[in-house]
Amino acid sequence: MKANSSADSLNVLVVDDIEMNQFLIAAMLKKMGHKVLLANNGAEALAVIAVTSPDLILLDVMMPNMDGFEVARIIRRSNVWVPIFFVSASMNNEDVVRGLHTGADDFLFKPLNYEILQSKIMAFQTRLAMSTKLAKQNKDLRNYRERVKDETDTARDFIKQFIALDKINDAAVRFLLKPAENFSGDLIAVARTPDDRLHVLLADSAGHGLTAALAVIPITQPFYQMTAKGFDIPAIIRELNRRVHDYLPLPRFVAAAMVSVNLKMKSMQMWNGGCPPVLFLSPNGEQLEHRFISHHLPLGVLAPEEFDASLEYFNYEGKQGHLMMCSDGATEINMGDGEALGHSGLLLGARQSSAGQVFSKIEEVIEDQLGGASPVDDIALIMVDCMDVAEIKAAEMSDDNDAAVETFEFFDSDNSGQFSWGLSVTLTAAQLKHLDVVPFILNVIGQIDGGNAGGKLFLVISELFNNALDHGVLKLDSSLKNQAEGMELYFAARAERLAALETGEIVMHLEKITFEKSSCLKIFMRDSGEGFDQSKMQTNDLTQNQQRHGRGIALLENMCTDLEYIGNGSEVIAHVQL
Amino acid sequence: MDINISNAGGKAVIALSGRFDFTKQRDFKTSYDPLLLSATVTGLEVDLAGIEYLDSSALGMLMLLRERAVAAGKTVVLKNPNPTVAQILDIANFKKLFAII
Repeated sequence: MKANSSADSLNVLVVDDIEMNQFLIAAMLKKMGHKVLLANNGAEALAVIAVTSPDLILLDVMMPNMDGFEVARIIRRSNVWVPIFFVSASMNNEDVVRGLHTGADDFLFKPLNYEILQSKIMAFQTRLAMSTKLAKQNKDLRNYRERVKDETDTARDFIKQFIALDKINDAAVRFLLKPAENFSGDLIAVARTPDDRLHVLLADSAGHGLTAALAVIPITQPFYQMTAKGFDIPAIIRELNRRVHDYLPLPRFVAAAMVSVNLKMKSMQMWNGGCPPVLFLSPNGEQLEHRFISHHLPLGVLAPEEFDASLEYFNYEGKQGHLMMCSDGATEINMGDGEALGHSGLLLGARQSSAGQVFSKIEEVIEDQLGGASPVDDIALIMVDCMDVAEIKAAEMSDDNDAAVETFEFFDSDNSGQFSWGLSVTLTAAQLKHLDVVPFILNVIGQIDGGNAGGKLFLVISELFNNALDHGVLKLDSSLKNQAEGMELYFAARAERLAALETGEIVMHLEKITFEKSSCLKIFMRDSGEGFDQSKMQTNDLTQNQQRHGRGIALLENMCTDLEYIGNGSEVIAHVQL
Repeated sequence: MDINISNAGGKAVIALSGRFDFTKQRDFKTSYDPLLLSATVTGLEVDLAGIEYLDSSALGMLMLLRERAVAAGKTVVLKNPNPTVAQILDIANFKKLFAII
């Protein structure tokens, strides 16, 4: 059927066995501006319909052989719908019902009244226009939905690549992600630095659905790239804030909690801005050993100059347990009586379970509460295993290094080795305050040397530099780290002194020497401090020397083929086999 | 969510009740826009007494209000949150952005 406006001219088929009636009706229709086709009976009518598709049929009911209802029934059997007005002298209710059952669009009574005929035709045309418009809108809507579905599927695949949940494969981390819709506004990212610190990020974008999921994408790349380069949390979280702030206007923001766990040293540093408290639980989930409360505004709210990257420190030496992070989608699960599940609800099943089961028990509680339905808000749950297995690994690592020392023949680099490249850097107070030196140096080494500088080198340079900066230039007392709350005091003092630093200097010379089968990096470092009493650092037995500062030098002695402190101890030469 | 505005002596009070979530974005903005444009209003108070629950979108809307108010040279204060709402504001550290009374 064509789309007609009310003023359009229609092709009207008039079916009546009496010529006079045909004549009268045709005259009226022509006066209205419509075109008229004529048929004397049902058979002729069907023939006309087959050839020209009329827009409307005025069908006489009282006809010999085939009456109007019969004709209508036959017309209705075809696929095309042609509107029919029955024309009759009078009708009783039964006939009206019959007419309606055969799909009558209207009824006209003889003698035909011009105004009534005209009004009914115009009303019909309006209905026709409306239904045509509706059909078109439905078609457009169907097409649109299909296009949107294609786009959404593509978007979901694209986002999945970015988020790479399936690539998270750290032995110490278990996680659960349940989005409220197709797309999750919650993000989980896990990676290790070159010196094996574990970084875990939980991000919760305001709202949920596609727009929320898009909001977290800018933060995955810097998290992974900076962690791979060995940056610390403050540098990374500062960059994440800058990205969210610059790319997403308010009212968008991203709540986040990021932790750096040193599983060997049993310490962790946390930045929590807008996420529920992160809990450190005892192995069986029974006791709460520590809780990291949200001290900061979520990411994206403050401009980079106002951003606060200060961390909360916790060391769990002598203990073990699980670190549990979750988004508010988990704690806010409605228990059906209006009450929120909360941490207490989540941990209910976990209490008194064995250490290995805590995560599964929490997962069970969440599944129970949801009862198969989608959650109202995206749910993310992460559990970091801080149990004691890590200790054994550290000892194993040191054994391997001893083996390496035994088989390697150390040549005097001045004679038989081949000089490959050298680098000298002098950093004064201004640079020491702002530069993340270790990742920077490793990056430079990586660019000069080509390829990855590796974990061992990262550890050695880290240790040497941190000693030089903390104890040499900043003159911090490392024994402070031993005490229970010492870590926080230590780092607070460090931050203070670094900010106030006016004079101080660290000089580094690095040289790569290649031999027949291996190569060696010579590292010289000098700080402007006063050195230390070397007689205190005699043991190179990792397991015996449990103190933090002592462990640093013992670790160095195990990683380096040669380690020598010169003069008052403010100068050091280390050789690392590559 | 019901929104009631009262205005006296330079202080406009926006009293909200019900659930403050992402569906209320337009209504909320329509309620405070004229206040920000008014020369007589010096400060806005958002009365949360009737709010049972707010979600992260609501937090975003409040932040947006604050940004616009600051641009218009007016103050914004949050009032009377119930314990649930107070806890949400606390986790988000809103006390760093707003006076909450």
